[in-house]
Amino acid sequence: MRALAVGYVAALVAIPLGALAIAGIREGPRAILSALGRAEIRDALALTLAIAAAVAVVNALIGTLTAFVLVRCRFPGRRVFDALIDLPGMIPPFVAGVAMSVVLGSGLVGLGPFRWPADAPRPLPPIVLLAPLLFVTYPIVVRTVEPALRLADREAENDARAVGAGAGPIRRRNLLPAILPAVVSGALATLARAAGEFGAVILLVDWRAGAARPAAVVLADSVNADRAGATALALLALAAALVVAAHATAAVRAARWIGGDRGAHPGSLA
Amino acid sequence: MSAARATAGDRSLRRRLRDAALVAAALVYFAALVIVPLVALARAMAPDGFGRVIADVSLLTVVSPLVVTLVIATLATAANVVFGTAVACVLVREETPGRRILDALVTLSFFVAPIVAGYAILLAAAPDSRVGAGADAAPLPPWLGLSAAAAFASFPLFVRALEPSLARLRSEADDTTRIPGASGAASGWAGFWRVTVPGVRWGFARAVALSFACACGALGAFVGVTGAAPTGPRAATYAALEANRPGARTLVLLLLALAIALFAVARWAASLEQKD
Repeated sequence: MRALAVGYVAALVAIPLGALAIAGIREGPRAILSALGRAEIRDALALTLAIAAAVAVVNALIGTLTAFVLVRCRFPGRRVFDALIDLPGMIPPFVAGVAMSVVLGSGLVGLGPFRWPADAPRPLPPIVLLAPLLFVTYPIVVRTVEPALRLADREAENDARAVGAGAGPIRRRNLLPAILPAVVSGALATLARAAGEFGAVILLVDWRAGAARPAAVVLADSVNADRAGATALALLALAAALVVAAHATAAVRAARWIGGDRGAHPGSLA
Repeated sequence: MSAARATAGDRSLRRRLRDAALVAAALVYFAALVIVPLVALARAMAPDGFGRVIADVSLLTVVSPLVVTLVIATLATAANVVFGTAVACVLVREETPGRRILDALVTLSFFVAPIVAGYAILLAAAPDSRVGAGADAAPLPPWLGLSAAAAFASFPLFVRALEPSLARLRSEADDTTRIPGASGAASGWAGFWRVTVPGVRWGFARAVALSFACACGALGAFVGVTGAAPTGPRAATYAALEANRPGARTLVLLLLALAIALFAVARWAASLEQKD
């Protein structure tokens, strides 16, 4: 069992990522750095980071709100809504991109003749890239925060019962610190997912010369044309993934610490 | 006394209003972001009605990418079922040397973008050649490359979806019965089939549906492994991207229908698991 597990992870994950690192060494650090310094790639990185950060922030807010609504509020259709949360995460990102280009490209929802975006490239401002990314990353924060919120409620109820106080005020006071780690880890996962997404954004890319394109699109363009550029981008993405994966726990711990710190001042968040 | 009651009533009313506002905000956001685009998509992809869609389904340009997608997703999911289950079993055991490294690699594979994963697989198999450029220069068979890329993209989802079910089974098992199969002994394998597999069957079904859906939609992973202009077999996501391909819209609709069907399977399995 262990041999199967280790062998598979080595063959599927470790060896390809190692090959990527070796390709970087073979290209040489100078080639990698000069590729990263090119205007096209610099623009791509700036755009990707800005868009992914915006998606992470919006999802952190909306996802927390949605998790709160699912856990705390009773309303007709709650179970259906709860079930549908996971739907956007299972739809191919590319299909989400087509849906968004239908909505944004035709101006009117479902009305008027649909033009395949490749037929009539009508450049849209880069902010439209947010739409499909928000779509595909929608469930992440909701499903990270929801269990934390349930746990926090249960613990706060027990605490309140233990001190013999009314459950209401105590629950409210401890809410944010208790769920902050989950919000942070959900936002980090969203950031990583949004930064690397290709299928969702490909139809909304501005193809005019000189326009900034998402890093994943530039990488796809470079695979056969510009190995140094592709390898540089992939190495940077791998480094970012390593940092995020290593710090996912650290960031969550930090958020917990911040949360604990705030929790020490009762009433500050009431 | 009555003043206090009035304040309490005010507070409860205010909380109810606030809750209603929050619910409305969450529902409106979801409808605007997910439901409206999907409905618009379904309408735009079938501009001539669904009779045309049904006629399109027989087109070779629709059938062949769909078959490619299903074969690749099946191969990737099969690999995840066999090996990903082993990984999840090792991960739910507490004290194993190397468990943390394995866990770290699964986490890392989750954070590596599919397109980077695809490109890394290309580099591992063919450091010098260009797979998309010429068939003679490609030591990596396109089927294998696409399947491996799809497996990489869906692997962490499969493992992370299966882990909670295995962990629950483990905690339910009392001290006398260890999780069979995790021990690796011959009797362990028998126990794996007798106890572990039936015990996690719904979690397993859910993980398979998630993994299959991810493998079907892994356009980024495919493009990473083939480059922007592949010459070999095209998966449905890539084929639909090609301008003026007859039936491209039908292909998008079929992908959407497949995703919704897999979503229904995953939900169904999750609800059955909750009942168990």
